[in-house]
Formats: sequence, C-alpha cells, structure tokens
Amino acid sequence: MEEAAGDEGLEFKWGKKRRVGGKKKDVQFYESFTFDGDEYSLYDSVLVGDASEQDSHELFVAKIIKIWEHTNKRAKNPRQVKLLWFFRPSEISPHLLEGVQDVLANELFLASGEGPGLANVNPLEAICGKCSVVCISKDKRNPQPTDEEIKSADFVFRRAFDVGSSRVVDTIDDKIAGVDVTFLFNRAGSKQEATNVQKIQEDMNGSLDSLKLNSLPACVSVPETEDNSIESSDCRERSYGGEEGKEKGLSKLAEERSVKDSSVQESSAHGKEHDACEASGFRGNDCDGSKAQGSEVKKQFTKEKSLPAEARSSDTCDASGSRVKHSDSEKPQANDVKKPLTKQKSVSGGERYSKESNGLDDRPQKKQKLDGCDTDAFKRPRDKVTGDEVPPEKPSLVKKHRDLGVSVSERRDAKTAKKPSFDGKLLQRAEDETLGDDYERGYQVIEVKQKPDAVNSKWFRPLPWEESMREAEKEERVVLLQNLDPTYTSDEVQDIVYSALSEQSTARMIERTSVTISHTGEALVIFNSRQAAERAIRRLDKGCLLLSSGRPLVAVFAKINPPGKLSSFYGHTKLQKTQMRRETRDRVSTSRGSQPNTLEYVMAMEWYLHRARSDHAFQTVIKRQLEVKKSLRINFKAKLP
Amino acid sequence: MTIIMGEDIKVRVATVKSSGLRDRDTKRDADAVSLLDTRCHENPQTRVTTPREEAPNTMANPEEEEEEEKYESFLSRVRRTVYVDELTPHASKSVVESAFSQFGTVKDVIFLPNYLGPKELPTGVLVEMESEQTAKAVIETVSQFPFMVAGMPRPVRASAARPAMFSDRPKKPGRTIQFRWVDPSDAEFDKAQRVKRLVRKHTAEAAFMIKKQLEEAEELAKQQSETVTTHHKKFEMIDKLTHDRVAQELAGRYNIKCGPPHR
Repeated sequence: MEEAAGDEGLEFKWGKKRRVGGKKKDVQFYESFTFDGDEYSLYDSVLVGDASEQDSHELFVAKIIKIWEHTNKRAKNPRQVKLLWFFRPSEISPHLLEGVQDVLANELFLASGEGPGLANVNPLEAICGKCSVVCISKDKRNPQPTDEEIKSADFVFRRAFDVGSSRVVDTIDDKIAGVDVTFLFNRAGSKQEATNVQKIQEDMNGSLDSLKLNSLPACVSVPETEDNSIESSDCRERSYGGEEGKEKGLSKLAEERSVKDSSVQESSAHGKEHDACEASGFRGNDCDGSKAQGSEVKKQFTKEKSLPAEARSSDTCDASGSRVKHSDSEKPQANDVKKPLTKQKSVSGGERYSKESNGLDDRPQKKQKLDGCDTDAFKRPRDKVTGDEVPPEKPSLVKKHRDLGVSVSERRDAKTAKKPSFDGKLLQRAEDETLGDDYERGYQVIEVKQKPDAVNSKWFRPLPWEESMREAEKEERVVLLQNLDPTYTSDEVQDIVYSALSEQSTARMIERTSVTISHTGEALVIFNSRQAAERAIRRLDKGCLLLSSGRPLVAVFAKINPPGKLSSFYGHTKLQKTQMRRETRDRVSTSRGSQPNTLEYVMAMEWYLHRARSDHAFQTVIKRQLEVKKSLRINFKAKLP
Repeated sequence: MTIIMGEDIKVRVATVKSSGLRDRDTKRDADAVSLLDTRCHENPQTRVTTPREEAPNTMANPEEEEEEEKYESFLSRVRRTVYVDELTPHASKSVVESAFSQFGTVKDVIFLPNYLGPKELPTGVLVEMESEQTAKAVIETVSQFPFMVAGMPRPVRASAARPAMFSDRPKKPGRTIQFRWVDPSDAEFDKAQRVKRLVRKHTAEAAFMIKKQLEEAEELAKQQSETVTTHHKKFEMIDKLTHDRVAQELAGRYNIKCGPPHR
C-alpha cells in the first residue's frame, strides 16, 4: 500500500486521545485525527485508494474502527487505522447477488462474519477521503435516517456480506470485527451538529443564490430512498461539508433547527437522534430537494414547507430542505427566525460532532476544487449542495462515483467473477501486522493466495473448454442436461443434441464423483446461441425425448460456479500465524501420514467418522432414489400405432 | 422448432448420427452408422439417417478395432488412476504430485472442476500412477492411515477411479444410442413427465445432502480448531512454567515429581 501523501506534506494532526495500549505500552490509540484538511473520527466512513493501481479511480469504502500510532519510531507505518470494509455490489460476484433483492445503485454491503476481507490494518495515509454512508436498515437498533439524508448520502447500506460464508445476509450481527454494532449504524445526533451548524453559518453567510439555482438543475435526485431517517455521523458530516463554503449556511441551520423542532413534535416515535439526523440530512440535501428548477424549486419548497410539523420524516426532510432553499433565496426574514433556532440546535448536538467541526473548519477552503455539478447520480451531496464546487478532497473521488455507477450497472450484466478481483484486492489490503497489537489477529488475510505463483500457474491457464464455457455462460448459452446415462461420453451427448434437437453444440459430461448421484449422468452443453439454448430447453421440457435407456432428458439453464478458488476449506486448522506462514511456504512438504499417538491422529479419526456418516447417508438416499426410478421405468420400444 | 413439436410428433425412432461438423471423415461415419443399423432391433423403423442398408462388417472392422483399442487403453488408464477426494482447494498440482510421489511416480494429476456443486465442496483429483499396483498401494495406504495433504488434520480419501470420472473418456465401442420423441397421446408420456420431475427432485435431494455434509464438516472443523487451540495453550503454558522453573518449584514444595526436564 503506498503511503498516499505521508511525506508530501499533507497536514496531519491528532485529535482526541483514547488510551495507551500494546505490549510495551508504546501504542497510542486515538479517537480522531485531521488529515489533509479533513477530520476523521472513529467509525467514520472513508474512502480508501487501491494500492495496486496508483491512479485508479477504484476506491473502496470502509469504516474506521481503530486508530493508533506506534510511539517508537521503528515501525515504518507508525500511524495506522483498522478499517472495516464495505462491499460494493460490483465487488461481489453476481452469482452471489442473485436472490438479493433491490440492490440499490449506491448500496453497499457491510462486511461481517469472520474471514479475510472483513477488516484490515492500513497505514493512515491510505485514506483518500471521507464519504457518507447512511444505514438504511430497518433494524431496531438503527436510528432511521430521513429521506433527505438517504438521498444525499454517498452510499447506503442495509445488508451485510458475510465474508466467511460469502453470502449476503440481511441481519447485522451484534458485533462485527469486535466492534459493537451500534457504532456501525447511524449515529445519534450530537452537539457536533451544532458546532458544524455554526461553522456553516459563518461560511455561508455570503449566500450564493445563483450558484444554488445553477446547482439545482444539476443536482440529480439521488436514487431511491428508504423511508427512515438514520443517524449517521457521516451523513451529518456530509451534509455539513456540503453546506459549508456555500450558500445559506444560516438559513440551513435555521431550517434544520426548525425542522428539528417540528420533527421533534411529530416524530415522537423516532429518537432524538433521528431528528438531529434529519436536520443534518436536510442540510446535505439542498440540491436533493430540487425536483424543479430554480423558482419551481422554491415553489415546491414553499409547498412543502407548509406542512412541516406533520407526517413522516421524509416530509419533514423535504420540508426542511425546502425551507432551506426557500429561505435562502427569498425570505430573509426567515433567517432571523432561524438564527435563534440554530443556536438552540447547537446545544442539542452530541459530542461526536465536536470532532467533526475541526474538519469542517478547513473544508470551505479546500473544497473549491472541482467545478460543475456532476450529474452523476452518485455524486456526493456535497457536490450537489455546493453546486459548482465539489467538496471532496480529490477529483478522483467524484470520478469514482461515476465509475461506481457505471461499474455497478455493467458488472451485473457481465457477471464478472468475484473471486479473482476480490482476491487481488485482498492481497493489496493485507497489510503488515502490527507487532504487539493483539487486535489484529484474525482479521488479516491469511491463507488466501500466499503462493500466488502456484495459484496463477494453475488457475490462470484455463482449459480451452472451460474458457468457452465461461464465455458461453455470460451469454447464457449453457444448458445442463440431466438424466443421461452415466456411461455416455461428451461426444455422444453432442451427437444426441445434434440428432434430436438438430443443434450444433459442444458438450462435456460432468464427472461422477463421490458427491454426485451415481445412477444418473449430467452434461453441460454449450449451444451456439441463446435462442438455440432456449429452444432446446423448451422442446425438452414440453415434449419428451426418450433415450434408449428409457430416460427422458431433462434440460435447464446451467448455473455454474464462478471461477476462482474458494477461500474456505473445512478441516484444516492452524495454530498460529507464524506457524501457518511457515507451513504455507513449505506447503509442498507438509503431506504426510500421521502417527496414532498424536492429537492429529485423533482429529483425523473424527474426520473419518464424519465422512463415513455422510457417505452412508448419501448412499441411502441414492439407493432410495434408484428404487423409485426403477418403479417408473419407461418402455423405450413404443408400440407403434 | 417448438411449433413442430406441437404438431407433427410422430413416433419415430432415429439412430443417432454424428454431427456433421465433427472431424471424422464421412466415410467412417457412414460405416459406423450402417454398422449400428445392423445392430438395431428388428422392427422396421423410420430411420433418419441411414446412408446404407447393408452392413459390410468386414470394412467396419478396422475402425471398430481402433475404437476398442482406444477404449481398452482408457480402461487401463482408469485402473492406474486413483481418485483422491476431500482435498483442499488450496493444494496445487505440484503439491499433490509431490505428496503422492511418495508412493511411486505420478504420471498425471487431473483436477476435477466443480461447476455445479456448492462452493465449499472439497476438491477431487485424479492421480494417475505408473502402474496398477502402485495405484492399489496408494489406495490401501491412504485408507488405512490418515494421509494429510497440504494441511492437517483432515485426511484425504482415496479410492479407485471409475470411467465415469473422466469427462474426456472415449466412447464405449459398440454402443448405440437411440432416441424418440414421445407423443403426448402416448401412454408413456405421463410417466416420462413424472420421471423428469423426479430427476429434478433427486438433484435437489443430492444437493441438500451435500449441503448438510458441508455444514457438519464446518462444525467439526470449528470444534477441532477450538480443541487444538486449547491444547496448544495448555502446552504452551506448561512449557512456560517448566521453562521458568515455576513448575519445578511447585513440585518441590508439594513433593511431587516434575515432568520433563528443563531443556
């Protein structure tokens, strides 16, 4: 992982200290820091660059779950953070994504479970910037976000991806990577909000109406919305970031405050955090409210404003948003009203925001980098809010969003395998372990790809048939033919397909192993076109193609596992990191039999037992299946009419 | 095509002919087909592809022989091959090769790809040894003693390979496949449909069994890893104590003999 800008003079400053730890008490943990003008706190969502490609626009999203520094100067990366990853849908193989409903365009999956890819230690300098991730899960523990917040969030997440079992899970565990889940959900509002508010107030005193109007058309309404308001520090900070340097800081604050008030009244169901979040969300959602252009917006907002204190959070969100714009553009008197409100709001903020205020200080100056509203749907709310100026620290971030949008849509179609790309990234992410830090064990990329050469040589030379099969799979030309005689060969299958269905094809019989049913054969058949495949399936389905062994053919579209090695194999245990590393290096020499007087032997016996049991069960099932089939024997020789 | 299906289904028996684009000379095809014809049953049937009615057996013999030879050599290869199961997917070809070269020369290692099964399925491998005896020896040894490849403690399983395990196997000579489309009005149609459904059911059952197996394996693995770590911790602790002479001291006080001497 390259040191992003550690030596290039990017400013860095520690924030709040936490405690001292480590074996020799030489590790200082922190709660926040300022880097390159941004303040980061624990449990912020950040963007991290891809170490393998210097200028790639591929940025990963992660949550900081630990920050520390080695005080002795020997470590080459004294300042490090532990990041809990979010997965973009593009990082997950489409095979794993099927059955996962409604993956939003900017939805992320929180890494959970245990295994490689969950969390990593990285040098602090690898962080490229902040981003806002709003949790839209309907979990009770999760403060629900407002629509505004959701719309203006960079990303949303509501589901997790279990790295151990490589599955998308809907429920989020209580503890992920040792972190209590409350920190992973949206955060309750806090006084930081207030301080930020004040900041914005200062910054935005010069309101830029024109800018605002310009930005409105450009601000694309963010993808959809879950209808809750969740508290998220990111969300908040995002919105703050958005605010600053731009328009109506004052009015916004006021808006939010008033919104907050109203929401407090009406949304008793939600927590206080909810409100605060709403408020923050509003701020970020200036542009978001822009369903109309220019004055239309104002009109709309006025309308919305008229119903502030009732209904759902989203309404209030909108209302506040509208109020923000509204007041900003036209109603100066509102400002007065709002000012006091703002003040009140400041009081209610929580401590978290105090951390962020530092970052916000610098933001207005920094964020005047990019021009023009990015019309990309994933543009950060800051972008929207600030119109021409895109606040993210680096232009690459914006591009990233664009790419993200593109990649998500196209990748889903292309069915790129998750594993290879994922593993590649893992390799990069795996960082040097901090000696003496007990927290690292268990979250590192351990066994995956320790011998890249061996892996490459085996897996990156796919067989020609496999190649064509993967190709065909993309175009959905692969059909699984079942109920063949197990003694058929691939050639025969091809012949059958040709004669019976009059289609050219290439086929491969699937090997009958200990895990496949022995009394029936299957083959993967690649047709020349999708229509041909469909035709064949339909014909075999509707009609009945009987083979001389008395078996009717069954055909379905084949669902093939994506290529690449799996990361898990049950049954191999490792004792310690060091031992394992040595072993993997010497993997070639670790094949051996076992002596009966070792623990190893005992465990091996357990495996024998397990195997015997499963075999027996499997065989019983197979036997029964065979009997049933026999009873349904079909006469091949039909009685001719 | 589907339209045809619905309308003109006649019961016809057709012999399978090689697809036209295949890389054999047509003459051979013709011969093969005619050969097959003679072996068909006696009823007069409509044949879709029958270039010739008579069966010049003599002319077909060389090809037939060739086929049989090929098949025989394939069978001998099968007898020499060991099917190794429950292998970790991390094992590479060289690892497997060196592991089994302890028994004798390994001629070839073929990995069985897992296209349809669950992802966590252990890898299967076909290891071709140089002779049948070596193969038998491998199977015997591995079945009697736990043999671990590239990781412990889960041992691999070895058994004799079967022809069906080779996806690129040659055709069994002298076999003909026939097919017919069954008319919906045929009495057998329902049965056939039922069989088709049954096939799907069976596949699902098998998949379920495999899944259960994997789950149990996972549990066992977890259990074992816990055991290992606790044992390890215990041993470590004991080690430390003996190293620090603490254990000896305590032993002295209680008048008990202390274990292995301090290294």
